[in-house]
Amino acid sequence: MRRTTAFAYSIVAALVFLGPLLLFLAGMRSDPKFENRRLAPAPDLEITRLLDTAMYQEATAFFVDRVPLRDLGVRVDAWIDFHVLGDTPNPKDVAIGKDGWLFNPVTYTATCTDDLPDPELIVANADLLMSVLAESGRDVAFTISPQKRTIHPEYLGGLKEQAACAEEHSTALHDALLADPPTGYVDTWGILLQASAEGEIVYFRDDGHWNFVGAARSAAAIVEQLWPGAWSEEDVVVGEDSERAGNLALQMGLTSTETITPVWVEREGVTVLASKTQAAKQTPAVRIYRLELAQGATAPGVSTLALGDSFMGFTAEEHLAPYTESLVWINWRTIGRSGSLSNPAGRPVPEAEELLLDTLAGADSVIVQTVEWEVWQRLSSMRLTYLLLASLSEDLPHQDIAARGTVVGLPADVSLGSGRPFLVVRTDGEGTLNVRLLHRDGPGAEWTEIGRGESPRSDLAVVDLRDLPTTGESAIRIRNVDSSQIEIIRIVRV
Amino acid sequence: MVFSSIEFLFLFMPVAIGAYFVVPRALKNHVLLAASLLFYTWGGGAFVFILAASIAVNYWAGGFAAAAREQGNDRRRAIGVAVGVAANVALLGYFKYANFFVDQLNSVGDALGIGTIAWTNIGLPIGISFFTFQSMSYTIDVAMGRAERLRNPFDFALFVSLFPQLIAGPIVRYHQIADQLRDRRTRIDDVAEGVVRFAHGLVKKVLIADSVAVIADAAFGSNPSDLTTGAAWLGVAAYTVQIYFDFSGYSDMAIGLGRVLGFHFPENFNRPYSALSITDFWRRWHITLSSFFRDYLYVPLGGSRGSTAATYRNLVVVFLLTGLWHGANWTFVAWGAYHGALLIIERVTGQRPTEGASLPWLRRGFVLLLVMIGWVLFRAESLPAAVEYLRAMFTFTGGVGAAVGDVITVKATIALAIGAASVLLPGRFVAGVELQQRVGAVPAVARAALMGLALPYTLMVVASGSFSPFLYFQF
Repeated sequence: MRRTTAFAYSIVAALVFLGPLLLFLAGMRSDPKFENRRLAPAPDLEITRLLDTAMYQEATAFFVDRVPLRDLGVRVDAWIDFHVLGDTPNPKDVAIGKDGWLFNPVTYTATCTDDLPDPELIVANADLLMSVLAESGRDVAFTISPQKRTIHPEYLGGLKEQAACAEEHSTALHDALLADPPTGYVDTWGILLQASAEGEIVYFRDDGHWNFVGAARSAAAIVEQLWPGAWSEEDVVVGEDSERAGNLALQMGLTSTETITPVWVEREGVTVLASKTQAAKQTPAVRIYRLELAQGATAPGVSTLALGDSFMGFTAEEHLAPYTESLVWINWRTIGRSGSLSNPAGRPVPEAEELLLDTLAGADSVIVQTVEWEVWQRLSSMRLTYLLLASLSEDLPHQDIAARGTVVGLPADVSLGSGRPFLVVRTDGEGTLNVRLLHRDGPGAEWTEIGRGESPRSDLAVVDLRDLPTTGESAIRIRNVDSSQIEIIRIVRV
Repeated sequence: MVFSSIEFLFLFMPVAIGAYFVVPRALKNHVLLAASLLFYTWGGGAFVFILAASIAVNYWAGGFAAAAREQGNDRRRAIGVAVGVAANVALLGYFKYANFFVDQLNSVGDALGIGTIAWTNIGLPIGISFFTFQSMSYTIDVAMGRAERLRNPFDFALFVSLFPQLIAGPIVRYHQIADQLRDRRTRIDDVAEGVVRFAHGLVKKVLIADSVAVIADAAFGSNPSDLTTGAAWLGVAAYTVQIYFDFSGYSDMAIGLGRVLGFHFPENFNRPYSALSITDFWRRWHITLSSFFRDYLYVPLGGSRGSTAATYRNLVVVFLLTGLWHGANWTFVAWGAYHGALLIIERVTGQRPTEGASLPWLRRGFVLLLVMIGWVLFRAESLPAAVEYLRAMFTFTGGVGAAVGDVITVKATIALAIGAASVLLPGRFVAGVELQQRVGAVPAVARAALMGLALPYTLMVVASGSFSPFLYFQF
């Protein structure tokens, strides 16, 4: 190698490998927002942690997140993968269908399993949840937002084979919903299928969600369910085409955009204001909208709670908010699973559940929306239903039991009468409430445990009494809290 | 910390090498030693004490044996060697194999109903297979008079812990770099050649090995009953490319880094998939390991100097241990036994050419096929899984299957094609060496393409590997 060439290569190597570090030391950083997440915090560098590999992992994460030009490298590599090779740089999270349509593989891999619950069970659980809300005196709407692959299978292309198994479960679920619709059911699924069959595009190409046309069509059906006659096509505004980056394109590291047509509702004399509470500040997954009404203008809804996921994000402000004086949209992820409250970034939001219950207490309308692939998990658990049941028990037909003690006898006629009976126990004690359902053939006989309560929260327990024997005696045994700390023992009928 | 990570490429390496060039010559080894110990601690934490203890024991054993040799005291020399070797074997045996052997004993005890040994699994210090072998080479080399012992313990510590080859080789024997440890100079040519060699290794590792790894992982991770014949062959072909480009790429990077720092490490690969026989394969694959076993085990056992039966026994012993060196699992033992058996068959039939044989392409193809079958044993999670995989390879079922089909991207296909095509190159053409050393217009253009195109693209792929966006954008 000639000396000048050798010198040139040495300089190139120094620039390539030392350059980013020098830029880092000079204060330059990779775009902190390009991954839409919090950057790794500064490492806790201490002499006492010199042998702790965690310290080095922290330092690595801190540096990697900030190293200059990393965002550029990711973007160029993604561009080459997608535009030159026709590949997805991120096959786990994004799959490429026909004509550049992007799909989220989890929407078909997650439901391609034999472990899914029966569709009929999901429908029954949805009905119970919505019945609790409806029988407490609220107007309700329940809808399942279908997957992009369900509505636009024509763009799956080579992904059709992988999605086929999930498609069977989708069809079975939709059939079950139509066969025995849950209380307040709004069939946006069918509406979007119909639109697609007529050649309309109701989902984004680069995003996993419905587009504004699909969102507007769904919203129209929800509004009709809650406030019949309120929706008017004259209020629907179609904006000028604009460019938008879809979540799946961003997920691949691309900066590309797709042309979209914004569609929103403008009602005369009605202005939608987005406001935030303390909880909303802490989490982007709770959003609150209020109306500013000009003189003479009215809204059919007063106070509406929407429990929905990211699909709600395309319709809450644009289409639903103009119809209700107040709309609080709480993301399913915010209320968490198994009692763990967190926002989508994983940070805990302890106020979110309280916000949900407080908003519900003052709401006259409730919308429950969930995306198709997550409904299997969300509605196979009774946690949310029991939480709402306990919270709304005052508004539902109920009967309080005055007796207190470790073992409390239940009335003999519990299983009689109309409505499905549940027992709600609430405590102001510290321990996690534990309630067992007991039965015996008659006085003097041994108690046998025949069921257990579920605890949606440590201070609550709910027991389903539907299958309580009609003969003999029944009782509950309360554990972990002192009988003096029991606030309520109540039988509620739904 | 792997060489192909952002933290190594843009933080550790520039700081360590920068500091090395900035300090006066007298301090260069100290800087390198400090960097190497930091490199080890970064990934190994408190295991650095195991490394330090190994350094101390081996330094003493080598010094003791060397002093005995100088005094002509063979008995004391043998004691020094025995202590050094025993210490390394004990270290390796305890940390790498104790869990495995206790598992086997417990399986037997459980089956016979005689109880099991209560045992808490031991963590594995990274690079232990490499640093124990290097340490052993020091004791043996100074005891045999192949090189002078080191008087400075810091120089010895540097020899054992030198970060470019600490965790993945090549296994550098003491006599190969003894002089360089004491005195070396880095010229601009060394830096340039080292940089080119490092870049070549990085490109091999990131663009070829990592790209085809998804296919191999999908095939070997599949349920055996779902594995079609096509998927099984594709998987083993991908793994054949992956393991070579991964390991030789890492060796290229180590050799390149060493060169930048003024060291001349031995070559570790020489186009192994162009071998004309399994005997030839083992002269081309992981050369520093096979030559270590040859010189420090096979030859002392008697090599091929004794009876035919003794030669076969020696081969079996060497290859069982070679297999076991790669990991504490029966699959590695089986892989070693498989290669040992093939070598014996070649000796029996006299078919073990290393060059100039008739029908070279046919021989290369056949040897590659045998090697690929061996990789199934090497890669499978267990022996039953390997048997199932081999059954899928040789029982015809159509298609590729969804699990493997899903991961066959254009990038992976190109990488697999390039990797497979390397088999077609002339037998003595080793790209890394050619790029590093050869003079002429074609190598110059290739070097420019490597540094100007392939390296920047590779670094983008490295950056992409760290991309971790949050899915719920806007929500």
